[in-house]
Amino acid sequence: MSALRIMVLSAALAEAPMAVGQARSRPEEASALATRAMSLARAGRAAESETLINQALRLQPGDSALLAMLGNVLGMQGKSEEANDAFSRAVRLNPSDRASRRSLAAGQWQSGRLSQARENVEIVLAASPNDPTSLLLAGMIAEKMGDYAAAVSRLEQAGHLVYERAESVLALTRALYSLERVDDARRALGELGSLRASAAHLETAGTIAFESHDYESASKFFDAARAGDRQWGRLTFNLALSLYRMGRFAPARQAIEELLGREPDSGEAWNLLGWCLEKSGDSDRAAAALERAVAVEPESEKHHLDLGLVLARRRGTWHLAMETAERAVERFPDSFRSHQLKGLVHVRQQHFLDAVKAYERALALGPDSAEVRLAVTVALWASGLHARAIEMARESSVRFPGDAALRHQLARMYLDRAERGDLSGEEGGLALLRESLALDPDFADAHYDLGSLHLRRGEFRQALDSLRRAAELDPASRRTHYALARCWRRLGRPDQAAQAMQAFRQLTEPEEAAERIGATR
Amino acid sequence: MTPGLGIRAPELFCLLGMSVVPALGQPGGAFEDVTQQAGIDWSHFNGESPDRHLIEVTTGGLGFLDYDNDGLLDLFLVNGGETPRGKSARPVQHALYRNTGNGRFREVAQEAGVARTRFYGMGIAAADYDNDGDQDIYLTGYPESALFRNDGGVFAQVTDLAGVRNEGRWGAGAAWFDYDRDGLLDLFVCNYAELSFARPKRCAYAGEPTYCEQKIYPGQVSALFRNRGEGSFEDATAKAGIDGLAGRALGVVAVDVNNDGWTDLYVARDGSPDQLLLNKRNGTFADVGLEAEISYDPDGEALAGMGVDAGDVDGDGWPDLAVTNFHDEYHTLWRHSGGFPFENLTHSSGLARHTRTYVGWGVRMLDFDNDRDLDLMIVNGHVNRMIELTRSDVTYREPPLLLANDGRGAFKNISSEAGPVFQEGHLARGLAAGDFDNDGDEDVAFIRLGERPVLLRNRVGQDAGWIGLRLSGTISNRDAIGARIVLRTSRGRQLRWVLGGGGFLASHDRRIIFGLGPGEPPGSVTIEIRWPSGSLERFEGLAPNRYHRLAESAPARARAEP
Repeated sequence: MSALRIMVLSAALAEAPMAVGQARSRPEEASALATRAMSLARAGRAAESETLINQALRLQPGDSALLAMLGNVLGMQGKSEEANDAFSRAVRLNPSDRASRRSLAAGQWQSGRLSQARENVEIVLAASPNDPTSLLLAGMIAEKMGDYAAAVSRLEQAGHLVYERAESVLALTRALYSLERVDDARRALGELGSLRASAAHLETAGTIAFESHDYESASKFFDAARAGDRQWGRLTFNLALSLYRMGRFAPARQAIEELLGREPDSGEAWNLLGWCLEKSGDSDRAAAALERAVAVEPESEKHHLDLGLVLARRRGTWHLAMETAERAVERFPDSFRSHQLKGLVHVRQQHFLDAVKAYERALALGPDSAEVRLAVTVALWASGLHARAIEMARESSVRFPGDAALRHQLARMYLDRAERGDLSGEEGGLALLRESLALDPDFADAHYDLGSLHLRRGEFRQALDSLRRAAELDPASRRTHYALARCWRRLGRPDQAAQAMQAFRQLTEPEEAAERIGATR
Repeated sequence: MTPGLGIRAPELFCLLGMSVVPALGQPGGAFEDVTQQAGIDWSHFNGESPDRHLIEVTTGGLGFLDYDNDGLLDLFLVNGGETPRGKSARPVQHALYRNTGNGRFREVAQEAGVARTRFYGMGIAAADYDNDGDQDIYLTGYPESALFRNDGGVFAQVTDLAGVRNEGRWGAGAAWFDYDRDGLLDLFVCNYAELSFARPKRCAYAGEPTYCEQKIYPGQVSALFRNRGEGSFEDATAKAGIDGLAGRALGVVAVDVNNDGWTDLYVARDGSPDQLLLNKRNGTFADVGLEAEISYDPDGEALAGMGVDAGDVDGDGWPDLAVTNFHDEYHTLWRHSGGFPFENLTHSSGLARHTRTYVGWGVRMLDFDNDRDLDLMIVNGHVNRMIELTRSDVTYREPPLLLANDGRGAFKNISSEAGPVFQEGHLARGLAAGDFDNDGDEDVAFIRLGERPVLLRNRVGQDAGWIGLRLSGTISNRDAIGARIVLRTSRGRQLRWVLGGGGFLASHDRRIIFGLGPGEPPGSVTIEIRWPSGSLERFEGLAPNRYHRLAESAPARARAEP
């Protein structure tokens, strides 16, 4: 039973003597039974108390106070549904019984009947707007319903009560993260320290932070939770994953190697080690780690796909990437992702007609994937099947009207046609780029293409705006810095041009060095 | 008359134009394939092998030169070579076809002493490096190159004597030019990439071996050899400051880009940023490619630069540049209007539209119809036999392109009117231009990998007015490489440069032909020359429709440019 429900039941129990005493019309025998039952309940002897209350109810079946008491003692025993039933009957008999209604709301919250729970707790709050327990319950219900603004509002009104239980602190934290009040969320999480929170709560705190992309907080909580916990392996994995997401590949790798030292058969851990190594620039060992992941858990498609992706990144291992993709297709013939990987490797090798075949198979298996539709479109265009590419992109844009990437690809194809002389394509491409950016204002590639188009048209101010936005969103894009340098130069700003060119060169040098690896012409 | 310029009467030396009438649109097209009737039966050998050495598909140089000084252009064809698993049934020999003057050629490589070299051949650069009045030959190749000195029509191999072996390097395009203005031609050699016949790179498609992408071959440093006179050269690569600029260089053209009287270099590099090496007038060069924005495409990508040529395509008096690249990259046209950056006219000129699916090699800016503007001829051909299995719009064999200039730098594809050869696919590589029949228009020849070359006679240029010039330096290098020539007529002016290098692995006719268009009145042509030495001269009253030999005046009469 949740701490919140216990708290609500306790509060109800504290109010019970009054309810018991209010039943003036109750036969003497029933009153005696109720009094004894109350004593037993307070002594924690809930089962015996339940027996006496049921005896009293047989004597006085329509007594709402007795039903409320029954609900409490049932709740104390974890008999949630029976308790809810008792509270429900009590409330039906006496709609003004706020304690029972609140207890009913708590029970409904716990059993996931959130709308009913919210309805009941709002009735209570209408009568007692400052009742901290009800405010707390209302906040918890709102948080579970995803109404984070209401949740934060109610929980903050509940005052210190929130910080007395890890459960409500976590609910407040989740709501604050959802409202992007990251600093407040971190402050709330800080209160867990004074509660001597359990490992489970610490893990939950880590999970909430992780899901909110606050990997720094997540790593701290996972690290704190794993000390001595029997879930050490899982927590260590989560810690490593948080560090990885923070871009701290060396400590992430250290944590995952520690885990693999104890649990060498975790495919998930080998997989993460592979990515840590890949991100550290050690592609050979990355591939070896991912191969181990495949060996440990051959039934996991993800490991095959990740191995293929890593191998497809470098020219020198494209043939191995293809072998991996073909194995994946053989093992998971009905998975569109394996065929998608095969298509990707074909694209890297510039075998575009083969890529079209692989992607079309992926599309047949996963017709609802906008990503695969985009891949088919790109491959069709690259292979020279331009009419089919445009048809596919148009059809996909209708099917996925909110997909910015599809519109962007369609724009690129229009602009490409315009570059080759079909000038009518330019305005169409421009409109599509703008549509793409309306759907996703943070789409760096679309900003870049828009900036490049303006630059080519001599619209340098507009080009600058778009290119600067592209550089903010994707500072590692060489082409953006190059275009920015050209744009600044045309605006008569040689210093800024030199800075942008410097950024371009810094990104270019390692790439040109890495070119010496291998591919088919 | 411009005060201070020497005015001289021209010296007539050559033939009147021949009268052949077919024009664009008429049966047969602008260029007639005369390979067979000329007696050219030599075949190129590239040593194609299961190892797929990249050199097998990047070879194929040729050049027009008048090696025997008989006033008729001869044709040198550079052979490739054997590879460890690509052997020839016959000895692999270069060909020197002597022009016998009746539209026919006779193969004389053996007797001229240039039939064989001990390396895999790539390209040719012909020039009179010893200023003795005949054309010498530098042949590039792997793993070395060779210099042949022409001694009255017979060649002597003088590589070691000269110190230009370029050993261990994969030499490609080369350019003769006088970078220090001492009157002696120096030599720039494009070096391509590290290659090992013993350790071939392996790539495959559907189990079939294919050529690996060029980027897996580390680029090399190109070489600059300074002519010390007396037949020897100094390796000036480091001294000139270009030893730190490694990359896969293939094509080079030497031209005075900034009009300061000192010849600069544009180097086309394959998957490495192209270079614009500005002559600093002190024996060093600075790469200003980034400033000129010619190093990368608009997306900041280094293209697969192969061939390059320079000329004023828009009539503004500055040299523009055309560069051939891989398919999807487009062949690039850079417009130069005096300052930096250059303007990328690839799209607005129509080049993008005409060249997207082609892998381009040889390129020549030529006024094929003598209508007073420079047109473009580009020869193409893929490197991957499997390409048609991976692309629906790209073919293995590709047709050449003839692109007509509208006079302002926009080009129309008129290949369909250019002749049957332009309707067929080829594996073309080097393209050389020269007026082998002395009729006043540029004829061309190109190499096809592993096949017979193609010799094309221009059938339209002579119909328009023209004037041909052969410059002869006295203070300057004898070939006048680096000279800037301004032609003035009643219709305006045209500019040309006597280039070093240009194209892909090719060497062109040293003479300059200006198209005059129809009806240019006699006596209206004036020529102004800035010689490589810096002196300026004007020549007036030149008669159209013939060649003129213009010699640099004696030092006392020359006037150095300020």
